[in-house]
Amino acid sequence: MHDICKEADAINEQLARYGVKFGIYKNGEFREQLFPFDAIPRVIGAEEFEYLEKGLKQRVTALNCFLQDIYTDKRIVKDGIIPPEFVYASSGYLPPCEGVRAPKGVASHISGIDLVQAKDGAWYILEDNLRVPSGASYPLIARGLCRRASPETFRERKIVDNRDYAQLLRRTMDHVNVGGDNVILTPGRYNAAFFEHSYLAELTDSVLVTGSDLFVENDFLYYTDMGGQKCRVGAVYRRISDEYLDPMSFLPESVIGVPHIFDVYKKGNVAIINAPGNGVADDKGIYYFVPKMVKYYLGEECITHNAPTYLPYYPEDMKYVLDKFDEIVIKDVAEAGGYGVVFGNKLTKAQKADMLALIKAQPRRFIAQDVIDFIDIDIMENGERVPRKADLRAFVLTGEDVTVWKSGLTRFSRDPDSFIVNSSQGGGFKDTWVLSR
Amino acid sequence: MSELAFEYRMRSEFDREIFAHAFRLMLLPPDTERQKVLSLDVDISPKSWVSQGRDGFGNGYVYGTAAEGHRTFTAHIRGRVLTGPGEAERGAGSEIYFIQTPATAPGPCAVRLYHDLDLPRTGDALTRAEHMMAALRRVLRYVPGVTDTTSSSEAALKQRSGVCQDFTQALVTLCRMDGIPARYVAGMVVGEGQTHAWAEVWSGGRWVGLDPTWGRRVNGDYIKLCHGRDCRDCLLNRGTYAGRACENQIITVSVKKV
Repeated sequence: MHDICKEADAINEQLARYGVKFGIYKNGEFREQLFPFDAIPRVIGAEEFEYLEKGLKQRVTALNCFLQDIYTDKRIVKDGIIPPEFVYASSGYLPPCEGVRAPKGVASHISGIDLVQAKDGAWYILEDNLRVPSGASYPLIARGLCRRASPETFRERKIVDNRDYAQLLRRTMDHVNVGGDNVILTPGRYNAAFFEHSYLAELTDSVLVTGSDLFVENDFLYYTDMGGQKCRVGAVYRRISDEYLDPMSFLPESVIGVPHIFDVYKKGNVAIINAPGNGVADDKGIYYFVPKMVKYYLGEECITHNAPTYLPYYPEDMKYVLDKFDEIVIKDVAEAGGYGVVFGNKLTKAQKADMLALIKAQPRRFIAQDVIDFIDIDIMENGERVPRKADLRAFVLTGEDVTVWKSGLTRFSRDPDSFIVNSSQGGGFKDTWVLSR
Repeated sequence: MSELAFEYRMRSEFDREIFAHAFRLMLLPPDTERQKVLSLDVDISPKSWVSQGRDGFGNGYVYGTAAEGHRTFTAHIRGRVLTGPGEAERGAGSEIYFIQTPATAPGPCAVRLYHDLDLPRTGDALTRAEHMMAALRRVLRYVPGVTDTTSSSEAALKQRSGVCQDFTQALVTLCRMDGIPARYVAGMVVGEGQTHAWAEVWSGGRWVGLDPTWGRRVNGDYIKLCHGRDCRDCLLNRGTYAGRACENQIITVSVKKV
């Protein structure tokens, strides 16, 4: 371990050279910044990971059942498990997807589940990301560089090799491919995760394309290769959001999408990874209901734990929110990336009054959670080990079977007083080691 | 029962050549309890290929691409439709139509208007909706050009004016505030001019059409094209193309009694 820390600067330099950056838009300006890597890994023991693996597989299986159900039979709403407004008022619910069955029953092929570990060792799910979760490429490339910088570290320890992510991803794409090539559709060079798009395309032997490279002809999707040859596309791992995917079915003003791609998908002539419409399942309001989904669809008790969550929509929860306002965190269900998160005790008196008025006016828009005192993980700062808050994004791939990648993205907050670890808020990342015994 | 002959003509002129022109036209009248399509003829030019699809609300459309360069694009859709005798559509009422969308979400103006409504204490959903329609017509004036397809009902209520789209979304807003499922309908009505919009409210196990622009129930003069939660769900024609051109689009609609 000591050796890796010594090499941290060299590894960061390599990461910069490989273009491991992410872009941020702030005040209308695009800035690219390095994603700082900290060499001290998060280590998860074999037994502990086995428990997480079981829980995550169950959770993602239930979420896939929900997605299939909600756009077709809607049994879970009819049976009164989830109030209809939580589904239909969600910005992630997309009416164009009504009646569409995702090929082979898989809507969330790549799921990014965010977890934290509390001080007592218990793991809590913070949120499910089922649209286009990013981040797997960072620990993937970092591991390769670490192995090169300090081979003995990996020789001496029983660390599961995580460099199989590309094969897992490739298998996931091949499973739903309906005939033709796999492509990765990126919004382009100025997207926050462009490094990841290009890196994964290279590793999975997929073609990296932008919207204008793809076209629909007679209900099939094609791209033109370097030789001017028209090639059919069988699966699109798209890294653009639903709303921008197809100006003919979603936002008409989108210029980064592919006209008619959604119609081709509905006719079964191309697979889209992840399926459009998944936003209805990773809505912060729906999160509350995931343990109920597990019970409803699988008849099992939910293995993973949600952070204690309250919906102001329910009167008893509203009362709790009003009583314990200084001890809870409020999240706007429509926001992501660490935006719209408010800690009750950090507000001034006036801000608090405004927030309470807003919650009373729009109870469906917010969830409240107890603040989990999650464990600190050490990072190196100016040659010193200092503790920081960190979470874990686990990647669950669903193809023929459900697989949890034996690694994950550990993000940490560089600000000692902050609980928010999102890279868009200035955080850094670590490798995640899963031990084989 | 009446038999109606309709014609929808769209002509787009571009001042420079455009290509990779993708289009989607939601202009296929559906067969329902209150209208039967007797004949339908679609002529789009130029085109590389066309196909047909259906959206999540069940609305049919034609779509396709004109890949080669062109400066004129025309769509000509005509047909005959038998309307009546039924005035309402059956089919399932859906919880989707209970819920406000960004375009129908009530703001202060809608809240005030709803509050000031002297709604009958009893009566079915239709009676209440007709009451709301009357109140709405006392507030809104018909003024073209002050709103567009992204305008909300609240914006129209605030400026107290709009076109059929705004009258319709405002009625949908009020109905949903009252707990009545309501949906937005785009279609055509006997006469010459443009496409039209009206609302359908769920009452007594059926969808009944109310036209707040004209303040009447939908009768045999109306041909429905599609429905959705709001105006944005019912964009009748969509298109994208490559090329730096200015587009001049003319749409004419005519519906005649046969």
